[in-house]
Amino acid sequence: MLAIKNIFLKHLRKQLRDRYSIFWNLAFPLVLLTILALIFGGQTGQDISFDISIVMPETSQEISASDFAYAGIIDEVINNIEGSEDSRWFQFYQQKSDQSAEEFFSQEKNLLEAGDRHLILKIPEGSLPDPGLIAIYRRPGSQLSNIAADVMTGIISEINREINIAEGNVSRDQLLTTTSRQIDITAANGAERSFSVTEYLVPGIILFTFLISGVEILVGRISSMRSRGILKRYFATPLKPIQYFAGILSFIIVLSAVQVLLIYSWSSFIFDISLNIFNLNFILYMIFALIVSVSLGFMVLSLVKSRESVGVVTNALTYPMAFLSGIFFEVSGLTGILGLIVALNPMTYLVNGMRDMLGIYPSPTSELLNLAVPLIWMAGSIAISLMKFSWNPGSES
Amino acid sequence: MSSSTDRAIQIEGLMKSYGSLKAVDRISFYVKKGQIFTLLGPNGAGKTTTVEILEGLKEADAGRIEFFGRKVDRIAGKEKEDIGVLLQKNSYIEKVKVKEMIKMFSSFYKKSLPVHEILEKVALKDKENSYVENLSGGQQQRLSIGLALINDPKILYLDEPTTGLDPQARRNLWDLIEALKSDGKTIFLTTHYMDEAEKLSDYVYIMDQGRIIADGTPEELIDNLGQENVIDFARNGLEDPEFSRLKELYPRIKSNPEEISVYVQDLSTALPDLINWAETADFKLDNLKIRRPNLEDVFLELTGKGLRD
Repeated sequence: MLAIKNIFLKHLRKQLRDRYSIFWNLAFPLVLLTILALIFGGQTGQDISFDISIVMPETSQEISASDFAYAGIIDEVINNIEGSEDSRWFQFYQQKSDQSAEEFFSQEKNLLEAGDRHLILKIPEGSLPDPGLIAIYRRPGSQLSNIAADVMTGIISEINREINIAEGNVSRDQLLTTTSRQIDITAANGAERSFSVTEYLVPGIILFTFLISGVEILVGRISSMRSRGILKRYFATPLKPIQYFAGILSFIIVLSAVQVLLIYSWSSFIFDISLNIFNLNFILYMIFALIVSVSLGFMVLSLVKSRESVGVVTNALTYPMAFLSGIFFEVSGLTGILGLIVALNPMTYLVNGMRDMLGIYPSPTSELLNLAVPLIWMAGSIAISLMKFSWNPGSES
Repeated sequence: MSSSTDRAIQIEGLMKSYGSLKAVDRISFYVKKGQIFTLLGPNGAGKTTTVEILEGLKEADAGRIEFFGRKVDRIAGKEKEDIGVLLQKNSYIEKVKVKEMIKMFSSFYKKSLPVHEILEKVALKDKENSYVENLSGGQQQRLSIGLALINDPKILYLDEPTTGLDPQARRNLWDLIEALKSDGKTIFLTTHYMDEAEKLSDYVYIMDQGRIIADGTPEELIDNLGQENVIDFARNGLEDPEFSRLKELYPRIKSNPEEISVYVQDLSTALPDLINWAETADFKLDNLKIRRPNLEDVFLELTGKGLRD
């Protein structure tokens, strides 16, 4: 136990005595959070509101919700939102009665391009059994536009569920119950409080620091000590590898806890956020995220032996993982190879899960995926580490 | 002849391979308690692998190890409690103070000497609050020996302890090693420096290509050469046919691009012959030195190559 404590203290002292480590591991996440909040928020603590245009088909004005055409149902949903506390989230724009759909769409498209709208929903004329497709127009590169698209996609899924009910798959009683529940959930996310860009960023920055601690710091320290023969010297004593592992892991856990507290305190003090990060589920999920990062780190250490290569590989792994996961900004609109990376990236699911748990906005991926995908990565990394990891730098004669 | 009770370590048929390379090829030897034992060999001879097996850092593929009279499959935690190690490559952790480093290593053992005693032994009392990376090369090496002494070990493995040190620091370290021997420690030394091996060793094993090729005290090994004197001089670009004529005159001759060493029994006849040859060949005898053979010559004789090749 004393050996573990001393290894922990050794890493902690190095952290506290090295000004570069202090900056990069403790101050930099706060700087990054501030910069991103200022860039994406425009001003500190700014609340998000989505400006969404709804382009209705011209025939829709005569369609009522009971007809179960898309337009009628959406019209009813929008009216419900506008009449509720959720209206703080959304500003809807609809065409005037004397305006044609195409004319309104053209006008709103210009506003979308100019940045005055976050999203356009173009509702089809269709009704059951062939309701048609809703076109969603978003502004490329706009984080809020992407978030708005995610939120509206969720609402449309609910509408589809209602259409399914209307088709007779589910009883009308269930429809009312389900619709009511859905409104309650939306109210819980939106009516009790709206979220700011900083609140959106805080879980992302926390996850980013875990990724840096688990991959960059852990891998950097172990590979440096491994290649310089320091670990070999340790293991020429009765010290067991598991004791060393426990010591450095304790350091990573304490460092991560300090980072979380610093990020939370900073964002509360400067940006006046109101997130409850101290609930048990969120704490457990953070621990899970840290374990995933640490296991990724050990996978790198297992596959890459030289100290120089390790640095290159960790950078090549952490930054794409961070930037293509939604940690800093929305990436759900990405397609092709980038979209595939987003879909395979465990950080995508971890950050979605963290934001969902904090009630920032509903996760676009399911709870099951938010657990399963990182778990698969963790299991794979641990399996590779068990097979390939070595505390020694390599064979020597 | 020693009995098994006075042996610190005895190994038989020790073997270790890396793929098709036999790094250690069924070697056997023993180390007597309280002696300084030296393993000599060029790079790649298998010294480091042998030592690392005995330090418990590597596992042998085959062979038997007896550690202070106890047969063991491998050197593990129990044996490591009695082993002190100074590795060939000593790298230091940044931002750690000397005292903290000693305390940390102390915590790895069940029993350890007090920090102040270690600091006094290696003359670093005034540096206890210095960062390790700020110590001089000699001080860092003394600290490494201090770390090897923390558990008051029965046997110390010192792998190239003076490599990279200045002459004064080397001599200081020799004094420290001799003092440790006086304290009754068994010391297992590997070194490239022949003068170091000759000065410190009670017994020497010479290793090449994974095998032990000779052993004895330094004096025995040198005497076994059968030559009393060595004449060294600069090669000065000497080539055939003059070089062949020189080899006819002196059958035991070693050369490299810079220097020629001639091994002779009787200097009174060998030296005039050499001068006559030089006059005939119109060769200038620069940097001429006459000396006694040393372990380097033994090594050259046995392996045909220098220790640093």
